[in-house]
Amino acid sequence: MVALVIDIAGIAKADRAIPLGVISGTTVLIGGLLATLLPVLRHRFWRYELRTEELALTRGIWNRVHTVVPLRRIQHLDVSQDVIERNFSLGRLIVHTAGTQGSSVVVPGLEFEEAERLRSEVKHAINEYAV
Amino acid sequence: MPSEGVLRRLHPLTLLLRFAKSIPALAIAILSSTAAVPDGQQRFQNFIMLGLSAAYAFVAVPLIIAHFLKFSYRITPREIIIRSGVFRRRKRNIPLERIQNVAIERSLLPRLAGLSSVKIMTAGSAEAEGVLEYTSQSVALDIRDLVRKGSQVIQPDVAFSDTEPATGQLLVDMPLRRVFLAGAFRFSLVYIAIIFSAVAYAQQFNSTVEQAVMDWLLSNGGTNLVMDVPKMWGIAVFAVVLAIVLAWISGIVATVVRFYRYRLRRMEDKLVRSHGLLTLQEATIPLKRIQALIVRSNPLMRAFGWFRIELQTIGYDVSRRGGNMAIPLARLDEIAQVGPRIRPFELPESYEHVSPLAIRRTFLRYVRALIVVLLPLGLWLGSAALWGLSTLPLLGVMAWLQYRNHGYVVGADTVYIRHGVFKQKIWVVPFERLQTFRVNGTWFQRRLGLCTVTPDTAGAGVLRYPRVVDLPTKAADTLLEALYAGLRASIAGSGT
Repeated sequence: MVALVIDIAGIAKADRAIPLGVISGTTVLIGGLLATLLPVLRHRFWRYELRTEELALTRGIWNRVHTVVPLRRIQHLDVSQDVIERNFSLGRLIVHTAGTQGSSVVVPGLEFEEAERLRSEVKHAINEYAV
Repeated sequence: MPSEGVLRRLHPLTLLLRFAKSIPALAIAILSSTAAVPDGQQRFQNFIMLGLSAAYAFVAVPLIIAHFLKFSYRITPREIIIRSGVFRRRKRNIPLERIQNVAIERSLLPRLAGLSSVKIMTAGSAEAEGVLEYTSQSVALDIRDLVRKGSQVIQPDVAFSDTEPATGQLLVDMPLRRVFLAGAFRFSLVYIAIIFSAVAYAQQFNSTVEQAVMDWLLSNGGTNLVMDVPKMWGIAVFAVVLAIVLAWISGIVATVVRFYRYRLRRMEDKLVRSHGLLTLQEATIPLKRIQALIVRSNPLMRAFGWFRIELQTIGYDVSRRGGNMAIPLARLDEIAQVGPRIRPFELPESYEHVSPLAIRRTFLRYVRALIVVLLPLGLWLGSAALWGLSTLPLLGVMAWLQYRNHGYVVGADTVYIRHGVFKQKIWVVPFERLQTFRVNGTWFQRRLGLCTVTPDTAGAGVLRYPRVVDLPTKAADTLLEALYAGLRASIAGSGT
C-alpha cells in the first residue's frame, strides 16, 4: 500500500517533469523495491496460531503486534475474498469480537480452503464451550 | 394508561413544538441567503425572502403536519409497534423484553407544555430504536414503568406522582453546592476557545466593542497609551485573565444546568439516573451493560481530594455529554462506599510502575512535537523561535509526571489502569469484561525491550482506552498471563 502511494506520487511528479524524471525514477525504483520487499517482509512476520482456547496472531514490521483472541469472546466469523484474492484462490478469515480496538481481527492471505477450514475449526471450538 | 393495543398518537401540542423548532432554521436560511446577495439589491433580497417563506409555508408546514398524522404507535403486552413515515411508510416492532433502556427527556419548551420525549433503546444499536417525540408526561412514565416490569402485565394502580422512581436504593443525591463545586472543577479550555472565537467573530462585524474598550482605556490612562508597551502587556494579561474567569463561570453554569438535582439510584439490576435544570433527563442503565468504571480527575481536583466516576457502557448513547456520568463529584471515601454498589471494586493505594525508560520515550515524543511546532515558527520569527527551547525542562518534568501517574494493578477480579496527569483516568475493568488482548511494540520500543499491553473492552473510546505503555517485555508477559487467567477464571465462575 505504501509502495503504491509512493508510486502514484512518482507518476504525478513525472507528469510535472520538473527535475526531468530523476526524482520520479528513484521514486519508482524505491517504490518497486518496497513493493517487492514489503509484502515479503510482511509475510515473513505474519503468524497465526489456533490454540485450544484462543487464536493468537503476530504481525507487523515496524510495529510488532501480538493479539490474543479468546475463542469464547468471538461473536461471529467471516471468510471473505476480494477480486484479487479470488484470482489466486486466496481468502481471509475475519473474527469479530465485542471489543473496540480489536473488534475485528483479520487473518489475511490464507488459501481459501485453509480459511474455510480454520473457520470451521474455530466454530467447533466455540460450540464446544456452548455445551 | 396505555391499554392493550390501542392506536395512539403523539400529543397534539407536538405540532406546535415542531413549528417552533423549525422557525430558527427558516430564520437562518433567510439570513444566510440574503447576506449572500450584495447590498443594494433590495428587490432580489425580497424575492429570496418571499421564496423561502413560500417554501416553508407550502412544503415544510404540510410536511410537519403529515408527519404528525402518519405517526402512530401501539403498545401491546408484548411489544411496542411504531408506524411512521410520510413518503416511505415504516412499521417497527420492538419486543418489550428486548428493550434495554427507556430514556425520558424533557427540555424546556416541552416541559412548559407538559410533554416528554421518550427514547426506547435496545441492544441492537447505539442510537434509539424508537423515539416518541412528544408524549404527555404520564404516558412517558407509563411506558417506562411498563419496560421496567419487562413483559409483565401492566398494573394501572401503581402511581408515579413524580418523574422520579419511588423505589430503589439512592446511591447519589447531589446537593446544589456540590453541583456548583463540580462545575468549578470542570474547567475546560473548550469554553475559552468558544469565547475567543465568539469575540473574534463579533469583531469581524463591528469594532464597537474594541472601540468602547479603547475609549475607556484612553479616558482612564492618558492619550499615548497605544505606544506604552507595559500597558499593552497589562491589557493582554487582563484579557487572558478575563477569558479564564469567563470560561470558569460558563463551565459552572453549564454543569449546574446539566446536573442540577443529580440523582443516581440502583433498582435491582439497573441504575436510574435523573438530573437537569432546564432539560430534565432520566435514563436507565442496566448493570450488565456497564463494561468499566472510569475514575477521572485533574490536578486541581486531586489537590482537594475530589474525583468523578464515569461509566463505560455498550449500546448506550454516550455521544451526548454527561451520557456516561455516574458520580459527578465525590470524595475518595464516598467513591469507596458508593462505587462498589455499582460494581464491587477497591481502588488500589499504589500502582505498579512501567519501565523508567518511559520517561525518556515520552520526553523525546514531546521534543518531536516541539520541533514540529517550532520549525514553522522559526521560518516566521527567525532565531527568536529558539526561545521555544526554553520549555525543554518543563517537558522533562511533564514526561516524569506522566511516568509517575501511569501504572496498573491486577486485583482479585479487576484490573486497574491509571493514565494521564491533567486528565487522569483510572480504568476499573472487571476481568469478565475483557475481550481480547494486544501486546505491541514499535521498533523504538523493541530496541529498549519495551512493549504496550492493551486489554480490549467493549464500548471503549476510540482514542482513549485503557492500556499500559512501555512495560518491560517480561512484565508485559506476566500481565498478559494474569489478565487472561483472570478472564478464564471469571468465565468459568459465571458459567457463561
